[in-house]
Amino acid sequence: MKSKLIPVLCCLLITSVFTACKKTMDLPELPNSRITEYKVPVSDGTIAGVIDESDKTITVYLPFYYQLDVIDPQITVSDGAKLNTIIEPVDVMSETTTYTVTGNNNSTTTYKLKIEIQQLGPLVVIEPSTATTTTGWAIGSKTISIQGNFNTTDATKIKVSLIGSDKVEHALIISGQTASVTPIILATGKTYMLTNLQIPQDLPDGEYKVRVKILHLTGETTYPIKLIYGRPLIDYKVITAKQGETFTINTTSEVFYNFQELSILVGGQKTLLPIVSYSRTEAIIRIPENIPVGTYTPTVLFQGWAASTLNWPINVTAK
Amino acid sequence: MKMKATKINSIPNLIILSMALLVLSSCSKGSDPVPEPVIPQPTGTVPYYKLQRVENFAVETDDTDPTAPKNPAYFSLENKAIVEANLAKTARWDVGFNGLYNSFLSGNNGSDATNLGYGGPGAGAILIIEKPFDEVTDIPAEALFKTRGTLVGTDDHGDFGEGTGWYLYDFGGTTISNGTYEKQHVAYALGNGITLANGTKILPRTIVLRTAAGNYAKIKMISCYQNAFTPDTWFRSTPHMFFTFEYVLVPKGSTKFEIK
Repeated sequence: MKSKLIPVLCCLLITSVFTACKKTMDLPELPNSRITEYKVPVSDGTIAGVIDESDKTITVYLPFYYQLDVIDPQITVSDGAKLNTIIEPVDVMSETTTYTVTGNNNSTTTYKLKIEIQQLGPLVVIEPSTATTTTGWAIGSKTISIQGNFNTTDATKIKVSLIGSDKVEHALIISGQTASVTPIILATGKTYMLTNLQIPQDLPDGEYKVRVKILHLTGETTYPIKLIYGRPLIDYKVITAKQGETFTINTTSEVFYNFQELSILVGGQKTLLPIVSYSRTEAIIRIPENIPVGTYTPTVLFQGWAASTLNWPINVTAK
Repeated sequence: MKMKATKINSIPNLIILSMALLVLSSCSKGSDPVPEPVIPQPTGTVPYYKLQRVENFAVETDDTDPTAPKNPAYFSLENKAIVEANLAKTARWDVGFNGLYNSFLSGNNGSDATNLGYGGPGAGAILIIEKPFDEVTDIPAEALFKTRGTLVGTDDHGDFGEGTGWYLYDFGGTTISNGTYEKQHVAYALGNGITLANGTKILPRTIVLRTAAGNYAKIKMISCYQNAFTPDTWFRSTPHMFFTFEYVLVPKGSTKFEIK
């Protein structure tokens, strides 16, 4: 009789064990100051941010091919909760964005936003120079090109700089209006040529490495290029000045260096207009008082370069 | 014996009872999930069905280098506000101005590679109709809207025309006027139509645009000159490009333009 009660007791024991752990053992209640959804609208739908309640982060995995500069998220919060700030677009490179939510019980939670841009790496820059030949780039030139696996045709996304002996990044000037990127297929794969960059006019000559940054990727040349003084270019300008006065000429591209002379033909004779002073970007020229009134075409000479006749006039008027 | 048999038979009954208790006492049903509120974007401050006017919206201009491309400009019809260029790939703008003198208009569309909003969420598009603003009451069929960038600009009745445009460019000053120096290189907005020097009447133009959010607007382009809103006040030396236009918004799904 006693032994036959054992199965009955076992059944009761099992039942009590399985039914013991229930409502009284609920998990801790989640705060109601939560972000419950974080979505980024893109051209073909939305990208969902990953919300991690353990470390209070929101991670957005953003494919590079959308080429977004900012994300403009849509945020959902717990019932009755509210965000403490209005939702603003966020720069994709931002590392400081946070969102604070206040629940209807006045609890607050702050989330940190992490944007992981999914880029193909490594970034490889095609060397302008080789181990035996160093390419020269003219100071102030606006026609610099650089090639690599940039994976974008948006010139504004490609940041190019020169690294000299000072180890400082000297950014090449890029303008969304003139710079352009062209895909080029090589035997080794698809590359992109960024053209019409400008070397800053104030950089010293010498050797520099070329560094390229595209969002979180960085590539750098192994061999340096050499900044040199190229053939100066003078900006087009119609000059009108009186006898005995001075006028100014400028360059916004290759800088002035070893400016030797500026001359005009007076009665078939080469006549020098004295160079009062000059810097890399500006020269002050004087018109002698004995130059007859008239219109002249100037010729300039920089040391190391052939003389060139300019395509703009100097109108000399009476003093 | 009878009693013994009863006890043996009660064991399966107890097991069934235990299972039933287990099932009934386990996970109690929670309450149904409550839909959570979406915080609306801070857009759409302009009410529907109300006529809006924008005067002298300025864009970058350089007469010394007129053909050099300028930085595009962006305008939100939903908020009646200029939008910064770094927000090009968001749904925060509705009309893009770029091309020659930033005079070509387009909608904000993220799916068209030629569009300023390419990659972003914009669902916009644009078209132009040869009809007065007040007479454009039906929203055109979806198939007629175009998503390309740099789309609606110079009209074929003037110089350098590119189809039906919102303005007529008079290079020599003789298409509209008498060819005097000050009437050369004038851009005539066609929101009210115009009569050519040879007597030909050009019908008014109205732009219809689907906004980035999918609402609709009709737009009357009035002028691209600063504080000058009629053709008799437009000259080559009048400060430009300052866009003046009127528009009305109606919500997504509408079939008619109404002003209430």
